[in-house]
Amino acid sequence: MKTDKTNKILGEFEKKDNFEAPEGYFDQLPDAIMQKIIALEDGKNTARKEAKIINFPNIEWILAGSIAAAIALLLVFNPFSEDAAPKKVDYQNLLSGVSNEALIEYLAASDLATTDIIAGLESQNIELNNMDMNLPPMDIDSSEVEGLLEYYTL
Amino acid sequence: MEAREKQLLLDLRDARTSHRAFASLVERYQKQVYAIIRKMLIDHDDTNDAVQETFIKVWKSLKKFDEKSDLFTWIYRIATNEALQVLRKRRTQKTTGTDSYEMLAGSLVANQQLNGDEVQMKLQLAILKLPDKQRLIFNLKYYEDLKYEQIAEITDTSVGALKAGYHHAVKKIGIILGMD
Repeated sequence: MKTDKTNKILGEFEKKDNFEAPEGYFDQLPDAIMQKIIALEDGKNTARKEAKIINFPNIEWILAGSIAAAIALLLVFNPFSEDAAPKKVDYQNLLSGVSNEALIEYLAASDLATTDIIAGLESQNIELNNMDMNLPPMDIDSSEVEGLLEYYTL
Repeated sequence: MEAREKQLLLDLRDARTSHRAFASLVERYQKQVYAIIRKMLIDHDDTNDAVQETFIKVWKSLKKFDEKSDLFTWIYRIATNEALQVLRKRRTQKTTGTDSYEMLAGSLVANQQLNGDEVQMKLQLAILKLPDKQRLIFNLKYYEDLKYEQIAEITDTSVGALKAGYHHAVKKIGIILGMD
């Protein structure tokens, strides 16, 4: 039914291609297209020559290199090893390696006040009476000693 | 795929013969490509631009051609897409206030683009009133005499939808011409 109706409508018309190309058009069209294609390719080649081409190695090689470098860094600077953890400084051990004379000379030459030195020793839990302090004799009388003891609340 | 088409494809993919083979491809299909684009764009100069663009796209896409369809169907698909794209661009860029029909009909009448009598002119004006995609389906079926299966590949539409679309297109033309 549909086909009959379609045929009835279109049957009224002569079926022909009414659009014609200008004379000689199809003779020159292949050449015109090939010229464009050659120009395109020449443009591509020129652009390739002008551009500095850097050939990167294959992505597999880049990945392999990156992984190897990461493993090497981990081995050298292993952040998970115990050695990498910040060490607690053992001041008592450090001080025991220094002679008393050198220590007294350093303290005498420094700007540190005696109170700061004592406070520092206390903060590190270093007991003065455990140290073998071969201090030079001090020329102070008993009243001054009592004053000092009271000052340091000893 | 025909043996001749297979040989052409082999020559196209060989750098030593590709240019000669492509010139031969253009010679073989140029008239059909021109005919389908011309019926969509009406104006010869617009058609010429679209035909050249079509073949350049064919050249650029040759590597992508997977041989699942005929070379001819594939080229037709590129050509019809190009024609539809030109019409779409015109619509989005239009500043004159005229719609697609007025523009195409104006070109058809004013530039005497049609080589036919008054009856043919009436038929063409009626066809121009169809939406672009429906007009394309009508032209492929009626003028190019392609099978629905081929049109389905070219337009990426199901055969059922094409049959219905073609029937509606003819019915519309009949109504426009006062024949229904």
